[in-house]
Amino acid sequence: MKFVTIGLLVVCSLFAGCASQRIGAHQASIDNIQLLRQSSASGFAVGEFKPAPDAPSPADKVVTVRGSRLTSPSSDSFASYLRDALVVDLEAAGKYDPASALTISGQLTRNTLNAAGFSKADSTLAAKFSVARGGAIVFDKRIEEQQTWDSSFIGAVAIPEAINHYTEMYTKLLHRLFSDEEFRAATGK
Amino acid sequence: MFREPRRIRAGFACSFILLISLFGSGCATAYVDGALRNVSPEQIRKPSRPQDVQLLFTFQTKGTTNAKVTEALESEVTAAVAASGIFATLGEAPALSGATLHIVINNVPLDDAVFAKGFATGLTFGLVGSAVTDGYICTVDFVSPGGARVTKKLRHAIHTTIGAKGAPANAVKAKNLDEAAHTMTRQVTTAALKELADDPVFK
Repeated sequence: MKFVTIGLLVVCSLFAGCASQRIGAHQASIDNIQLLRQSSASGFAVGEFKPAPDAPSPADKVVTVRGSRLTSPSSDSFASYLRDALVVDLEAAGKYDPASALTISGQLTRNTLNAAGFSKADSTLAAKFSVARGGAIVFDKRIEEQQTWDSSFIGAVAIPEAINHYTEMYTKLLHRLFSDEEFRAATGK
Repeated sequence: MFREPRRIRAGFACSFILLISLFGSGCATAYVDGALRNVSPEQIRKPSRPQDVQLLFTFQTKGTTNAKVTEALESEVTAAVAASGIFATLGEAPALSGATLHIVINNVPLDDAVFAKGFATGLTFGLVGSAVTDGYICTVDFVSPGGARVTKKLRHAIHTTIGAKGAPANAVKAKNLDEAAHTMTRQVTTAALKELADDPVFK
């Protein structure tokens, strides 16, 4: 009986998969920087980012990949992570100006990561961005990014790949925002 | 009557041995490939009037940004660029000159049978050793204020052996995987910066 217990303990400790980790800090992307530099707006302030009222609350706090919990390094909130990512890109492009009349705010409306499949994984990230110019809303739009990638049966391969792809979703979502024609028109001079 | 518990015990014994063999079959040894010529900062041609530059670094795994490794190797890349002496100052914020230096190191697997090899090594308690090679493609992309662009691409590799496997030819043993990653990063970045400095478009 003792041997069975030890065996169970070993199996559980090695395969429990209940690890929790924070995703890495957002890195400024050269593509996003170039897009922002093409903007005629001299700078942007960044307002509040929060989960949408009708969004499922755990999606702002945690996403899971095969039992591993991923959390945000920005106040334990993925909406805050999106805000910080936006600030990083704006700063790197020289377009961050807390005193600007143009303020970008957002609501995280969708945040999913699915890497349970043996050969494919996917993620969806969506946010409702709004831009105010001197208090008046000039842009209000939901923008969504979806990605599918080749995954693996082996968790040791699938989990790190899912984390990398998930983290990159924020860069891609912001790229969609910066390249959005309506956003460019609304924020131009 | 006692057959069932005995079978359970035997099953767990097998599981236990399998797990021990899988996870305890020996330490990994890392080697930095020796094919890339080692360049020292002194060998890099310095421009007559070095300019400020905005440095951006991204580490990728199979083309996807790997934020954790980017954070871990960022200081190594920054130190290599600073030591090269081809820029006056560098920082993450936009440079006054408007110049941008974007360095990407992409980790590409050179061997698709990594798991199968590791499994065989584990099952044989390391008697059947295995070697895995990770390739790294370093892309240095410099955009000057005038819009002139210079891109240089270099390759490097790290070999990892597990179990009873000899050292790969033309490779330098590292203390551990972390040291191998930092050495590879420094070497490939410095070599790519030398190519950048030698390019006539780069002034």
